[in-house]
Amino acid sequence: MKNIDSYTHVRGESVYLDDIPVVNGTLYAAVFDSPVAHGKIKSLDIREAAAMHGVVKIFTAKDVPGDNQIGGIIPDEELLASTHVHFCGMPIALVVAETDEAARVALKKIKVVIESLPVITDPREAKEKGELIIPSRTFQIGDTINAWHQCEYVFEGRADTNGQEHLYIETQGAYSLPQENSAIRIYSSTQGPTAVQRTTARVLNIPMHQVEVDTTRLGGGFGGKEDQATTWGVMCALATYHLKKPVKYSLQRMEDMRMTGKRHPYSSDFKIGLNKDLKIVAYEATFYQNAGAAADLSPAVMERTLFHCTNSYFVPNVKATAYSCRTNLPPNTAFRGFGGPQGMFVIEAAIAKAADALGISASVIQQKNLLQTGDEFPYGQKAESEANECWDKAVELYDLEKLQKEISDFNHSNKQYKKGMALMPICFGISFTKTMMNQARALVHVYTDGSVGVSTGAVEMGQGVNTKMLQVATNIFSIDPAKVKINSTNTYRIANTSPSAASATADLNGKATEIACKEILKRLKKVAAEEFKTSEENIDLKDEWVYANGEKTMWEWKRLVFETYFRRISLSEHGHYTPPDIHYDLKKEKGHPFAYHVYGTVIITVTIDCLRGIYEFDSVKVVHDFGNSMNTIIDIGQCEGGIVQGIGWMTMEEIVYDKEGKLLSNALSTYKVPDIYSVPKEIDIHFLATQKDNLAIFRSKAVGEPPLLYGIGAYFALRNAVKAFNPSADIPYDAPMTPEKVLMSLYHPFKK
Amino acid sequence: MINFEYTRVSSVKAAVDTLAKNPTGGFIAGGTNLIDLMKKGVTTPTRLIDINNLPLKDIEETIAGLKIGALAINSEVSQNEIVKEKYPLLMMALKAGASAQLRNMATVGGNMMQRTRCTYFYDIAMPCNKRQPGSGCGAFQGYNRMHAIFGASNKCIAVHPSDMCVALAALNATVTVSGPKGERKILFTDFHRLPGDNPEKDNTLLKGELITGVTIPKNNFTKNVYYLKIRDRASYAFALISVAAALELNGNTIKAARLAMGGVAHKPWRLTEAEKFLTGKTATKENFTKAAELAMKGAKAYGHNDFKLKMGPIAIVEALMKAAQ
Amino acid sequence: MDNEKTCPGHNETNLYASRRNFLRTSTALAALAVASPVIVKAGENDEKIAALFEKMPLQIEVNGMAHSLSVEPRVTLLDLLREQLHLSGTKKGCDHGQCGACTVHVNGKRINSCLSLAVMNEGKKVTTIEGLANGDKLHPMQEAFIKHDGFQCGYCTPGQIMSAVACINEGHASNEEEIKEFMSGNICRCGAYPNIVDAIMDVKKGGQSL
Repeated sequence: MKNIDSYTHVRGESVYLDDIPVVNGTLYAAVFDSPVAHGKIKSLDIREAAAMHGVVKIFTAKDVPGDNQIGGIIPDEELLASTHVHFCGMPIALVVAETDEAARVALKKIKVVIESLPVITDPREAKEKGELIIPSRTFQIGDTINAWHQCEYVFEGRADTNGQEHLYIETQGAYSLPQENSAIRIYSSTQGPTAVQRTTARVLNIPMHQVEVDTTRLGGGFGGKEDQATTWGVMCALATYHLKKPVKYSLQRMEDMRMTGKRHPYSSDFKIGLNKDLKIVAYEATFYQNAGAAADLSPAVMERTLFHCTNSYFVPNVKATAYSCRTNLPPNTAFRGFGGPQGMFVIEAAIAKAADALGISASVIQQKNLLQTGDEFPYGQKAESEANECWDKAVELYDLEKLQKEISDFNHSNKQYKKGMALMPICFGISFTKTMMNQARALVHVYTDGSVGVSTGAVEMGQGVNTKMLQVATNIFSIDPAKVKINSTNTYRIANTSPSAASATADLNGKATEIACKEILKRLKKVAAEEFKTSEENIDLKDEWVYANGEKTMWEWKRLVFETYFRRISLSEHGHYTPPDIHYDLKKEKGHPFAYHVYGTVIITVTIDCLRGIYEFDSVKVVHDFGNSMNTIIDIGQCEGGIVQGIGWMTMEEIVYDKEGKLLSNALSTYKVPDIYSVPKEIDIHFLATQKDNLAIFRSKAVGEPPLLYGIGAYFALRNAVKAFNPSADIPYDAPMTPEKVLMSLYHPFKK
Repeated sequence: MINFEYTRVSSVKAAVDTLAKNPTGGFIAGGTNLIDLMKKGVTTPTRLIDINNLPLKDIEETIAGLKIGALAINSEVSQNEIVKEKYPLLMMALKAGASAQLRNMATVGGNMMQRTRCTYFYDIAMPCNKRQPGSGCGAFQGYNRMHAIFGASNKCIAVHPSDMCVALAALNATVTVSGPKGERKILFTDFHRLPGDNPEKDNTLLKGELITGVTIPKNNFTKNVYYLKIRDRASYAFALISVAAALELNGNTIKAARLAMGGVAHKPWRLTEAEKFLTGKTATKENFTKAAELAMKGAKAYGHNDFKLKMGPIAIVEALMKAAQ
Repeated sequence: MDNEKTCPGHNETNLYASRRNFLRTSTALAALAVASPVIVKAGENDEKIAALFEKMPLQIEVNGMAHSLSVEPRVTLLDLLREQLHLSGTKKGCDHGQCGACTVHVNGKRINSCLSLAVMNEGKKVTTIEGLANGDKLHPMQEAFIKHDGFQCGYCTPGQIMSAVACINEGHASNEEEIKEFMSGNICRCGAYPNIVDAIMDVKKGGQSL
């Protein structure tokens, strides 16, 4: 089924936050943020700003009626800075004015004096100084103390990955309106409407039932609007609370980049041991997560790094420790992969190092260690593996041997250009790692005219979840898709939602929709069974007609619906779903936290221009475990898009903060996201058809995050190409591999 | 953006006169750089004088060479038949710049007047001697990967970001300007300045002057030309380094050579020593390499742009090789 | 006088004061100030004295409809379309000409509306995404985008489509390489690029006039 938003997208009729028509009297907000990364606020003078033409009010921490606190997991993040600032971009004051221009002009008149305090931007330095968000956590399996004795080869090293700016083309924003009896409605560009609702209630000291959050769609989220959209929703609500007026805040691009957190940079140490058969016997890793100035989602991200520290491999002896380090940068947050890619990069670096030293291709080691069904992850869950199936299929389908020969022939006969290839197997766990969050609800109404309305907790941000929800309903009722409408995500309709994240949105909300639709269907069938004097098992709905005992009856869908209503039977249902069997023991660090895993293998090749250090990705060939894809068009789109974003993270996207914690890559001109040329010349995606049962909706496996992991292969393909030119190049495992890093490695050692 | 007053004029005289009466104002043509700067608060003219109706859009061949009006649109110049046939280096340079949308808006004069894209210049909270004389240079010991390796001073290490200007410098163009004191001509290579002690002055325009056109003298660089641009991604980004190379070949001997680099200095950087070296020599890689070495003499990097010292000579050789084909 | 509306820039307080003074002391000019502005066509009476008007008159045609508007000089074409004409199809992605989401056609040429002042489009014909379809009948490029799934979140889509139509009309869609080069001014963070290229190639092959 085509994306249900197709028509409105191409006509420019899809409505995003900034497109919502503003009501008369709407005021405009703008945040005054800290110019300094760490310091004590000595004085804040808003008098001149408040007197500016058009300014209605300027709010500071003292205007918060409830808790000046937006930290979700850990209450360590103020909405508005009271005594100290902890990162450049931390909100200090909220200006509300009659026009956006007036608000922004007033910002410039606010005077703040901050006594600087030492700034830490490096996570290892933070750890040395004891600046941790939470105590460290360690995942262990086997015996890493003695396992080294069994190893023929042991290698150690360091691997670093940089952050990544979400760069959703639609910036953050919110629009709040006063309702009767001091209730507030907030239109929010958020992946987590409940988070906005809950935090607003806490900050304003009002019950959650007074706060309605509504989200139609996002112009991109990628994790950046999972938690960090809350700030802006709460800001607007605070102003509405006080002024009893509608207040809108649509962030400008540079302020969005400056004030929001990004993918967590990690600096890690590894130690890997292999036996003479190249089996990985032992693996140790220490991860220093650069969390930024407050927790935000860092503990959960750190957890997922540990969950994915062995990627797609079985390692019998593992010790992985992670530190969530507090630095003076904007609190880093969710980004597609959520700590998983950062963990996987380290073991891939370890394998690459081993392969380099042993003079073999990394793929030999990778293949030997792929998970088999029944193998145990370091956290106790047993694998239901497709790792070998994906790998073997890729090798066969894409003729790996031929590809390898083509590359070595090319490199043999070319001096200025070199090709590099890497394989990247992936294994990504699907579920929120925090078990409690794995729940969802759906509300389905069948109206008396036969049209159907579906509301779930899912937020549409381009991943096609609304289309999938519609597919569930049309499939179960066997009606024309035009009869089904997917509504906006609204906290009054669906309460206590988990954010649309973890790639689990379609699964959780789809299953809840399925449950609700099936319950209604049961009632409809009972009515038809009575009418046609047969049992419910003999009633079928097919293409909007009722069939009894295999025969088409005179009742079509609308009639059935009406007859049900006439009998005073409910045509609505609120469905609730939680995946079975998932559990995790935090004390033991063992359990079964994931409903299932997604597997895949990519073969990625790149050509480097060894004169300039620029490169082009020739091909990306994937065998991906989609399960039984319920929408191949959408799933391919997610795969291609994830790959491009993963390649961007590993190559051209470089976040630069200076020593004082100020963001220097603060505009689209200095932070480069993949353009149309960045797409590899060839992308082949093969669907691994598995008939295995799984807990996915319609057995269609989660697809949001896993494809991004293929981008890690891009880094190693580049490395291999560089080594083809300069075999003695000592290239640190330090992503992103920008063209100038490639250039410097090609000519390493480099004399100035 | 600040509020400003707005005037539309339709003659060069009216433009110059209006600016003279409003010294804190400025001209606006395509606006693709000016509006960006005004949004950031970097430039704050109190009056904008819209010169888009001035009769300066023509591209015509004269005995002197190719005369391009200051208001000629970048995309139109790059698609002009005469430019394609007789001044292909200019066409290549124009096509390498910006995006299709921006090229449809930008004018030749505006392209020359565009300001550096240095992060510190653009951020009014950062020290920048160009934007605020005396405030210091944030790039000097800061994030300077896009910055100069030639001709900088300790007051400013910014680069001029234009591609078109590199080609015009290589082709020895002349700029015609009109001001309160009348019309005059400036050699293109003298139009942009080095920062020296006054980085706030990008070019040698006198107060109140308006660029009216650019003339490229007739030349024989119609075949062996190449504009090489190296940037962070394959499109839509400013040059880390660019090279405009033009050769007039007699068999395999170089009769005349023009070489200029972009992204390396406060102005398009003519490589006159390398040009002199190449004249009369054969078009071989060895000679190109020697020329590149000469060209890089005196280059100095500032930390984050050290790679330009390596990339520079490579880029020069490659541009020459491609031009020689 | 209480008719000053929006807030001046941070260094504008002086200008503000001097303007007030000027109006107070110069009655002849004050009379001119309150006279209703004569709508002026481009080319006639070009030397417009804008000093006394907060807003400028603007004649502009958008999607075939002529508008007689009154705008501050600093309003960009993008903001005019979105805020004054309530055509929210054109999107603001960066407001600095770096993403292409704001692409519209002015006199048939594609531009970044965020870097164009509304007043500089006097007498021009603007086409936005809303002006492509003919009622319910979609433009061939819109149909191609649907056919090839050329979007995910949809935010960059209006800009992509406007750019794509112009790309073909400019004659810059002869092959995939050329399409990539001439569509490179439109960023898509969701990565729908391959499908966008396919859609454009499809329309080019179809040969319909756009």
